[in-house]
Amino acid sequence: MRDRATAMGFMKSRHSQACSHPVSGRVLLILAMAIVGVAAMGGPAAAKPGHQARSRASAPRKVSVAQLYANKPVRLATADPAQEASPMPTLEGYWKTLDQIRGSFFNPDLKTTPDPTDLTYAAIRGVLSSLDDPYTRFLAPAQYAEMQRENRGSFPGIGVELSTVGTTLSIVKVLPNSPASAAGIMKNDELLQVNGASMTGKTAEEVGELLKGEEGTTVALMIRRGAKELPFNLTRKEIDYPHFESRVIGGDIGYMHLLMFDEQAADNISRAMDGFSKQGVRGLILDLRDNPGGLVTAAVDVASKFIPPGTVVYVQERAGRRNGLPTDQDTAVTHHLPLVVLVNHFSASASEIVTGAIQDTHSGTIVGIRTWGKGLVQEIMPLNDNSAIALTTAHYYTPSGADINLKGIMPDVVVGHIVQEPDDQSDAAQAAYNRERDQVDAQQLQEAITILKQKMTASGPRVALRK
Amino acid sequence: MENNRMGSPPEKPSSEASEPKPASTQPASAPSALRRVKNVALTAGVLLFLVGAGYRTGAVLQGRSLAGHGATRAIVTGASRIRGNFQRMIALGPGAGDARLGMRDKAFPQTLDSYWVALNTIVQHFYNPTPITLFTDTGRAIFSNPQRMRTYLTYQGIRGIMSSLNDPYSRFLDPEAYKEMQQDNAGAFGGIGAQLEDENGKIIIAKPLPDTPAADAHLLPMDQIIAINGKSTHEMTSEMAVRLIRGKPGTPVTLTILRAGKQFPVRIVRAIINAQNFDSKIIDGDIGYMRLMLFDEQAADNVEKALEGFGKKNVKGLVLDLRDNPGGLLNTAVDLASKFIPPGPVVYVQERAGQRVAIPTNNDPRGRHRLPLAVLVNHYSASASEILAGAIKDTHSGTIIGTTTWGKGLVQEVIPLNDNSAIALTIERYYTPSGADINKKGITPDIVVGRQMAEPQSQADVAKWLNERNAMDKTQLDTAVALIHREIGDSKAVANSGVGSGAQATGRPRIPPASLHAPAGQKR
Repeated sequence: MRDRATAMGFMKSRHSQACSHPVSGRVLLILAMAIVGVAAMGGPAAAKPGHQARSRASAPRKVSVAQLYANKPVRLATADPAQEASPMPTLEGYWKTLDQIRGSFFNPDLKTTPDPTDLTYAAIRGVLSSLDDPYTRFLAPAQYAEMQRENRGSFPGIGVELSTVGTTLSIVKVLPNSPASAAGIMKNDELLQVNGASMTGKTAEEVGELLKGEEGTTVALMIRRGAKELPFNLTRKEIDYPHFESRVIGGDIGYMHLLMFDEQAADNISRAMDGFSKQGVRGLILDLRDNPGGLVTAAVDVASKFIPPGTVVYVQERAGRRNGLPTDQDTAVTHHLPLVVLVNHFSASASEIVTGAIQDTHSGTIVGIRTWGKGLVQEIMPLNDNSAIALTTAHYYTPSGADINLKGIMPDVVVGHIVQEPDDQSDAAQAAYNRERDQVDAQQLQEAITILKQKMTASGPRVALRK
Repeated sequence: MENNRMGSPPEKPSSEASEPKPASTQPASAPSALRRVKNVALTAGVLLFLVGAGYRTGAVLQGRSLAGHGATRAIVTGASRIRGNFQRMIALGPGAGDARLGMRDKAFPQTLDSYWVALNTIVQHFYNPTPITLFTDTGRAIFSNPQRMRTYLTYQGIRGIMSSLNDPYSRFLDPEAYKEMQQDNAGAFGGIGAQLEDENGKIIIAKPLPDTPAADAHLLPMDQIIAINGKSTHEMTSEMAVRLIRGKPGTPVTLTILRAGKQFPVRIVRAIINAQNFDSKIIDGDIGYMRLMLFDEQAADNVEKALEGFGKKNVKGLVLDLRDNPGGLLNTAVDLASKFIPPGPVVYVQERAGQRVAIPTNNDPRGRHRLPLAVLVNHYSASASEILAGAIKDTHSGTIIGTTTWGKGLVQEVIPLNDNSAIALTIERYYTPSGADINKKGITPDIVVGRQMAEPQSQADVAKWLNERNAMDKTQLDTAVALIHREIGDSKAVANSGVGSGAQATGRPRIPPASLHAPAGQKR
């Protein structure tokens, strides 16, 4: 499952908007990656592959980024030597090490001299790992680009998901309204060639890279379907990640599943709620299960739709005071519908900010199991070669002042349990795991509906009063 | 067993540690190949783990003149200057870096910038509420000082670089580790002359060495040290205690000793302590036995003195014991080889893109008048030990006895950085005089006696392991003694035929000792 990758591309103009924020010399703040962080520690991250294996279209994505807080002062990480006395001893040690390795290092097993960029990445990884923080890490250019796409919530590509099964490279999903679906590419098609080059022996990730490109450019595929080999010519276009879905349940419940706090999260929710109001929806379910987090700004905007005007979250830096981030007046709450929020063990970071704000302001009922417990904020700091570091820079507290780090948020109504990841990777074990996950998910949703219906019955008068 | 000797090195000018000497300070008489070699450290870094103490490392480089060093150093003397040059260099475009900074790669400015920005971002903004290593009292002190923080982080960064090289011998030495390496190489340090042990969290004196301040102060084995200069040893390792006890010769240190339930202070004045990496004795009446535990700077003198003593006592043959010797200085290996092999190459070294360069013997007259020689080796004989054993074996100047050696055919250079830290970097491979590459192979003895023993797995196994180990060591030595007697035509050779039994013990086919030794006989 690790090999599954979404075919994607890259659009320069949007990229520059998203990453080199014009206001800040140093870039964006982020949140979340609980799952990824833990992957590195060999913890519950292991749950991810199994979970992604499920048929659910929207497997949670790993990474996340945060936008600069609107009111945050710009801080530049300068390399200005005037700031500190004599920075050179530090630099010289690093420099001389590189120089000596390039000049003299001899390893009979190596054909080439170590690349200075790789050595620098190794140095930065060494520096970051010494901080003992699972969320602080180095992002090589490809990882950083992927993170930016994730946060943008879309990517230029053709709209297929790939997976390697044995030596076969298959298309496991064709996204609706994508160039791939328009051209008639189908699930289970086997991908043989990209732009005339054989894909034999390549991983899904490598092929995903090949399918990327700028919007409007073309890519030629050779597909095997049954006994036939079919050529396709596709023009890349901007594809949305499947980070959000919504539907009406039982006639009057609006269900929204948010899988990542990307730049589109608040708009997606607004749009869904507009639709709900036309369909006579009388209660809302916000499903944040398996949502690893994302942008802090997205969390604030999303929370603003569900809580009364006030503070969403308090953020505190190393030497700073607690700084309240207020609800966004433009996207502030416009409804007074009863709300149930679904969470589980993999609801982390930005999910916990929103959950904590809703719980502390009594704006909804939290249902599910205890959340992940990531109370730290990372900033993404680009380096000069399209790599970046994700650095933990702040602690956050819910509106009531609670520190949820390593604790998580206990739901108001506990339903379900953590499903243990199977140790072996056999199909049978995976199937059993998926089955149990589905059962727990269904049980939690059922309970959410029950609670919401009670609230809808009870809250009629209260809504009137608030109006 | 000889971990944690106390003392500190004789004071060295700090400039020597921190700055490579200009090439002009090298001995003018040294041939150019040798001059480079003198600057080279040779060590089995891996053995650090096995020996369990940081001091058993290799050697120091006194300064190797590489193109570009001078330029780099000149630039780095001033903060604003390098930054300014760096900026200008970028403006000047590719290639400018080489001329201005003495760099080999134009890619360096970019990596320098990435690294520097990453470092400063952490120093300014990193937040972690959990009590990690960095946030101990020492950590907090570091963290509150940007310059120290950057230094700390850079050490981690350089460790990261070194570990990315996939070379077990290339590593970073922080100032403490580097200082210890220098002390080891010097073979002497300022201290009190006691060996320490950790025992259930206590610091215990294992043994005061004879004729040292520790012995003069009547310290006894099993004395517990509960404080050093008033600082409690609670939760201290013996290595940390050794660091506190070592110091400049002539200065005092006060130990608080607990002996038989009584606690009392002992004030001891530090002196220069020899590391005792060598000992020698006459065995079986006419065989000179020498045991070398490290190729330090004193090794050649020690061996010379022992050989002089042997000469007066009419010794007829020699046993050189290199078992458990992890190596040391390359030039020491060359000096020692010059006493045991005829004039000629000791070893060939080869840089990454270089030719094989022979390092010759140094005209030691002993090389021309040699006695029958047996060399004892085992799995932990590494590096410089293997150079010496390889030279003796390939020139048929002696018989190698024991088990296959470690197999470290790589040479490290120890390059000082600017703040008393250093890197040990693999820069060369070497070949024995016959052209053999022993890396990852080791040297197979002429006569295999014993076997490589796995480390004991539990405390319960230790006694058994030690017994077996001692028995094996003795069999190897007996084999060597019997062989020497045979070579010098001594009647004891017949009575004491340890060679055959030793070879049989390993399960290897019995090799007629005579045929093994024919070449050595011819050479003489």
